[in-house]
Amino acid sequence: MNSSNEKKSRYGMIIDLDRCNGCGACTVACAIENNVPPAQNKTNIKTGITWMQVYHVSNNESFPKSDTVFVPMFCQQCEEETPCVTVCPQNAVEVDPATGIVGQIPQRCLGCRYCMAACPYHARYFNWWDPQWSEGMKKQLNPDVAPRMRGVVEKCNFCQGRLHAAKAKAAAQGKKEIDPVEYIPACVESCPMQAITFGDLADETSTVSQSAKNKDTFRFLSRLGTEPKVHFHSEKSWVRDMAEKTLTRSKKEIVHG
Amino acid sequence: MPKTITRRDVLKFVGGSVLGTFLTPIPWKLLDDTAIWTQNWSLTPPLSHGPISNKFSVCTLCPAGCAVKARCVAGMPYMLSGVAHHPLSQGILCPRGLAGHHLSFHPYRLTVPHKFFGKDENSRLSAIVYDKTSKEISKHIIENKGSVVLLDRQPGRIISSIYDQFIKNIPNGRYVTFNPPEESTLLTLQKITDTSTPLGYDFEYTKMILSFGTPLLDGWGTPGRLMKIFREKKENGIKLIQVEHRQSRTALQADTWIPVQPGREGLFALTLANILISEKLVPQNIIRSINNFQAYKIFIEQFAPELTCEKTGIAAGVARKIALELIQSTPSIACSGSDPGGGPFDEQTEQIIAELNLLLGNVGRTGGIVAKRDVPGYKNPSASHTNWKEIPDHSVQVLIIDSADSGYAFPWDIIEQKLIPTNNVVISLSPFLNEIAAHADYIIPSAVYYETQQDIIPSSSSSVASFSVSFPLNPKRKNTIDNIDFIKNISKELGIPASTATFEELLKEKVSAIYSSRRGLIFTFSDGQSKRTTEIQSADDLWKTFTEGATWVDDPIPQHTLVKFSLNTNYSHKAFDVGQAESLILVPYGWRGTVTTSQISPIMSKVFQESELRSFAGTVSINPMTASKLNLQESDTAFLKTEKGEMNVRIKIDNAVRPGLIEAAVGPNLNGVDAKDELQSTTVLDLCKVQNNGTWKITKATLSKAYV
Repeated sequence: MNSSNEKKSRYGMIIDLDRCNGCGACTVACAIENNVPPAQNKTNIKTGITWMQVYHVSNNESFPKSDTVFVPMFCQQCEEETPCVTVCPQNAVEVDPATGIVGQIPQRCLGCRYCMAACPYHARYFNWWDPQWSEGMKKQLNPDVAPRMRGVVEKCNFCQGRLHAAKAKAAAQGKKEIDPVEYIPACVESCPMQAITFGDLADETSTVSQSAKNKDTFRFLSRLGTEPKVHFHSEKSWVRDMAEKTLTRSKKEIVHG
Repeated sequence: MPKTITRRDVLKFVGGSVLGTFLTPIPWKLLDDTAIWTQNWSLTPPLSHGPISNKFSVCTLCPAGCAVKARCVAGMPYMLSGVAHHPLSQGILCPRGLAGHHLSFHPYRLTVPHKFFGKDENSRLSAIVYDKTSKEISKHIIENKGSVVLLDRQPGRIISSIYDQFIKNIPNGRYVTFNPPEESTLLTLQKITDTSTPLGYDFEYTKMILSFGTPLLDGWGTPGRLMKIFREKKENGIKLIQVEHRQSRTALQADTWIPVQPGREGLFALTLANILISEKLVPQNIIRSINNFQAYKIFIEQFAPELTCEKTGIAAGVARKIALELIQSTPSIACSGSDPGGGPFDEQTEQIIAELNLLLGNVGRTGGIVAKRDVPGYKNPSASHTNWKEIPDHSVQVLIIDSADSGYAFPWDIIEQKLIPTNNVVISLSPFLNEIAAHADYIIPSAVYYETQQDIIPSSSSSVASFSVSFPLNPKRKNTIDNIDFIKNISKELGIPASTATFEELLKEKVSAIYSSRRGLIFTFSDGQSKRTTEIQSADDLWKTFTEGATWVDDPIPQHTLVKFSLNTNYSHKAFDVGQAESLILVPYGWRGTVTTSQISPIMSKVFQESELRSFAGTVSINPMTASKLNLQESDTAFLKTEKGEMNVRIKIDNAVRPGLIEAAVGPNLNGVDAKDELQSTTVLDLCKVQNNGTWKITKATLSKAYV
């Protein structure tokens, strides 16, 4: 057994919504890192695959009092009663006890999409088509991440390929734990506003753990009791208040997505 | 006695067997195996195998000059990221840059020359042989009856000087540049103050930025530089006031957003000038520098906030507060900069904004607009060449357009008005068939980003000069042509002299000039360290350092405030009359690099096609009140009409849009929509009216529900 697994980590994130300017770098970096295929001709917001989906959320005030924040939404890595784990008939979703990361195992997935229905964050995506890249782009795929096939569900896994690489490096150096700087998900690395902080929530001294206790830090749909490990931060009260609203694609909702 | 097997027994056995089978794992295993088989057929691509390595280069998708670290498998880049602590890009790449390595293999990449036969509705695009193309183009140049123009939208590079030399050898030949919109305030200031010294923004040390629609936080300048400044704004005390008619990403992040009426930005700047003068906020030393202060004082009285507030839409009290903040937060910077899709301001507005800097004493001051030096071996490109605007209308017969891209939209109308109406020939050096290339007669498939060496003199918005070299990361595609080779071939056909030097030799000359200057610092990408150029042993060593990934950054120079200047007194209210209040106004907007000649990686679909983070071409945003009046709903298809044409658009309803405005996304196109499709249809830019002053920011329009 890998010695780095001896310590029980709880990886999580804090996203500063006041800093996010909706540039989309996290979304693009995530797709490249995880070999998510580009959209095909007919792909749209309902059939596309964006592990990191950035929503455009308005305060519903009229011009010029309108205000907008960009909310990166992805697998919230629920700790308790993880809905997708509970409903999966194939055991294709599991929470890694060593890291707390909710992993998706495409080889087991039957494509029933119960997990998509169960996910309160709309953070799971179904492969409606075979993944397609142009011939040259196939040679530019990340060699550490297997592309998923048609008919399975996929989602953010905090760039598990990077975690494995960091673990392998630590093991090669005879270390018991990975160096935190060796494991940074692609979205965190690429964010030009440094709006995303990543780290071990179980480590009381980590920045992410400290920031999670800030009074302006919140989690979406915390009332469900699933204990998501992704936290958000905003000094704007209307932003914090929306945390308990349901993300929906209804035209009448103030939340677009 | 043996029991007779009846028909009933057989049926019971079969039925029981069928039912019993469902209690065994057989059907479930079959189902599972079938699923696994369908999931693992050969359509799921295999991954590359080979050694993992890191390479360094510099992004050339725009003039920003961001340093790139490429993780490679078997020599092929698979993940790009910024280079930490880089003095310009600060470890940041924009989304377009992150996916730039895909462009070599874009499905719409041209790899053979193409020619349009005919210029009417029945025009036909065909691939042709390169040798034949060279001969035909040479023949057109020899036969030309008008002028031969070579248009360079990213002047100042090595290839720019090669173009310049080439065109000088052709009768009626002209090398023409189009000033990058990011430089507009700086170039206007150079013109007003009659100086050839290059200028730059000293954002790092400023206290206040008054931005007139400049997309500072959406890809403008060198994005990493701006983003670092703004993410640390609490610590460094910088304030940003965004004067813009739409709530852009920069407006959202600004400390104050001034939602000015579109087309009245210049009027608002004059209002601020009025307050500064009338309320005696301008320091005496600046007043003494103004040659025509008394005349200006009388002239500016007509722009009192109470007189302009109706037109600008900004209350007098708000304007006074902004003027006071500007004076209290010195040094400050007033900058203009066009939206990449919305186009530049007119010259008058540019001049008003530039003059505001003079009035605030921002020029020649640390934290304001500072003088800098040219890169050794280079000349300031804006100083000596003809600007596109200076070319007489209908005078160009042969036009060659370089492939370099400023990331800003360039409507075909701007080109077309300079061409002679008949028998004109347009040659586009472009790896993709879009924007201007889609209108050209000949399209030469030039090499793209990361296939070839290129010198980078980054964005002129920086406060000091710098220099980098972009080295290839991807193999060059077969049959694509370097622009330098195209010029050499045409020169040979025409029998005119051409340099025999290779591009690398020319690059080495520049590096040698930098080494000889003994100026500045060399930042090396691999270790994130800087050292003085004087510490490098030889020009060859410096070249080797560049090949491994490096950027040269000049030293700042002492600043001197301007001694004397004059302010313009010829503006009038009438110039800001942009249309009837009851009209709907079409205002195009875009995202740098997605509205131009360059394609974007197909993976960029994640931010506009597979999400609503960005709008794709043909989407228009309107206020709910406007929608209600027009009986339009979210996602409706509507009919957008202007005097230039009409098209179907997709409606997006957004509270942040000013009532009466139609905000139209210029790009990007959905995946699967290539230039050939685009050619068949009208685009938003086709509907925008290009004014005589070269702007297309505002066009009167109508919008109605389309029943399709």
